[in-house]
Amino acid sequence: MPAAAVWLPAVVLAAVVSGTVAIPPSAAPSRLELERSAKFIHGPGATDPGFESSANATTGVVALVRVGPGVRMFEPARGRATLDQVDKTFIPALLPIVVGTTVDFPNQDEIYHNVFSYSRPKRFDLGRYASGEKRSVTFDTPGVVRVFCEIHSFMRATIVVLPTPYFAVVDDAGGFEVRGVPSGEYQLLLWHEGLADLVPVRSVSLAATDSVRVRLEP
Amino acid sequence: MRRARPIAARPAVRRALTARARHFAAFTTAAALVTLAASARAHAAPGLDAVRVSGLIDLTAKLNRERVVANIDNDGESTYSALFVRFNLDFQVSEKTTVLTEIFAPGGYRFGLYGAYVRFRDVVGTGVSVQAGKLPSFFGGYSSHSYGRGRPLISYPLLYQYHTVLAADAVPRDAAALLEWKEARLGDPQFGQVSGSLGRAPLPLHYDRCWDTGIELFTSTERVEASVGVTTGTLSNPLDEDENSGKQFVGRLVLLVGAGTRLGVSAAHGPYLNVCATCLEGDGIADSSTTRIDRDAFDAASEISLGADLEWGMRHFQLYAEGMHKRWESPWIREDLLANAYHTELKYTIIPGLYAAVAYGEILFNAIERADGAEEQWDYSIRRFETGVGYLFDPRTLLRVSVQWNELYGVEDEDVEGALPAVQLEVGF
Repeated sequence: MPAAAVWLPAVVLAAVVSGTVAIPPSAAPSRLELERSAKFIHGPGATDPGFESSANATTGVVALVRVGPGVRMFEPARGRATLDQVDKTFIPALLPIVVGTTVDFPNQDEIYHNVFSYSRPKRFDLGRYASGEKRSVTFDTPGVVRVFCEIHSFMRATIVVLPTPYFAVVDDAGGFEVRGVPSGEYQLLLWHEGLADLVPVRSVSLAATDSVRVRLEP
Repeated sequence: MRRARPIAARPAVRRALTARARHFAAFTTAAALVTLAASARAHAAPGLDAVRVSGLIDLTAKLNRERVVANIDNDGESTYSALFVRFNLDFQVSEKTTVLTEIFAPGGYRFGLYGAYVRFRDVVGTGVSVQAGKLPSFFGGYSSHSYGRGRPLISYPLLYQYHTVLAADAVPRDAAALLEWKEARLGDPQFGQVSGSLGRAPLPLHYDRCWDTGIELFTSTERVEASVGVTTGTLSNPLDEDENSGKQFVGRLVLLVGAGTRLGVSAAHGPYLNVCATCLEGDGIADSSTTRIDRDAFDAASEISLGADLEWGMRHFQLYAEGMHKRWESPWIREDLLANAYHTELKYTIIPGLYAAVAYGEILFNAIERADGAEEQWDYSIRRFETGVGYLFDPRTLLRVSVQWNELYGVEDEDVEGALPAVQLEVGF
């Protein structure tokens, strides 16, 4: 939960929302899609470590957005996060951030990469750049941004730009936990690999010291 | 079976389908494929989807008359065809074993299996992978450029598509006969089609639109990629089944030089004539310029291909360049028939998704001795220039707008000259 560690506010009396998500099997990345794309990076694509890590990456994000009368938008973040390129793999494969965050894309491989996205919340194309260099993009619109490498088509990552600082990454077992949530009415949003965008899944009302468990089934 | 010609060789079937029926069939096919693709994904097992349907639909509008001689493939189709569907039905057999297929549907209603092969990835942990079946070519670097955003402009490079006058199923009886074939191409609006008026299957230098059958082993390290393989046909004449007693041996080596330069070299050698070359007269489709040859000469007539390719990129510039030297032996012509070809392509991304591109290519043929002792090139050398822009709405939806010019050296023929502007929408599913 890299960005969450930066943005969770220090709240003394705060609720905890935890639970599990039943992510459908179809949300897993398609190995066949990767096999097909790897065909055209002749030879290496099919044996690269990046291929396996892309094929095995699957997870989701749960976020709480405050709703109700008189609710003010929180201040957009001014912080930074990092999406590395290591061994022809984006690390992490899933990066949730708060609106306003600037993401650095350092190239730590000895070869060029060309990071791009044509997703609606943020279109960018960083061009080809060498090892040790980095490019940066500020994400100012909520939504799901699919990130690719133009040279290595099996390299994939997802940046989920959230309109809230209260979120968690779903673990491999489907569990999640969001701490430090102030009391109030919230909408729980869910995203996983099988969804094009964040979807509202249920509402929850939190008192200051609540510890709520929920089971989400999109 | 020679080169894959699915239903194109059944003119009665084609005529029976009215334009409306063809359009209906095309759209029904597209809708069914998209539905099947979505359904397969929805019901897939985690991390190991058993089957996946994907593909590309190209919708193209030509804004001028097509210069047919320079673009068409053996079936009379081209990258300028109004509707061209190609889709993939892939199967995951195990974690490292996959069956991949490539199905072409020109017009959306004629189907042909152009590729079907099994891939064993990282065989027993050796780092070597194996592919066997009807395979995409592993000579040269263009395989990775023929799809989606890898192909910035509409047309293929000349050296991967343009037909020479040399044939696989007919042998010119002498140099004069070959030069007659050269002249005949100018008056043939269907030149290049197997079912064209000449009744021959002309040979491109490297026929990317048809895949060969064989086996390939490939491996890689951080800096080196290598492939070797054996196929039944040749680069010019890919085959489903072997029709001569020889095999083509192919090798490719790629070096990653520095951080952003890929340098590839390829070589291939194999006999290119097929069985029809010995039976033309018997089939009654021979003309006076062809001849029957004995089996030894038939197998000895070889095709040698040497190629080098370069990919370079920096910031928003990308350069792709490829050159090929080609040598065919023809049983009754003293000189080898040579061709030297190259293709260069430069692409610049202007803003995310929007790019401009320019491509230039040329094929040059050597001279052979005529009956009067003078020398003449055995085919018309040709060059092509194409420029245009493209816009990616998303990674799977690409709009290309380009203008192409072709020039046959020494020929003033409006059929192959003049601008060909076109717009193409490519949608992946």
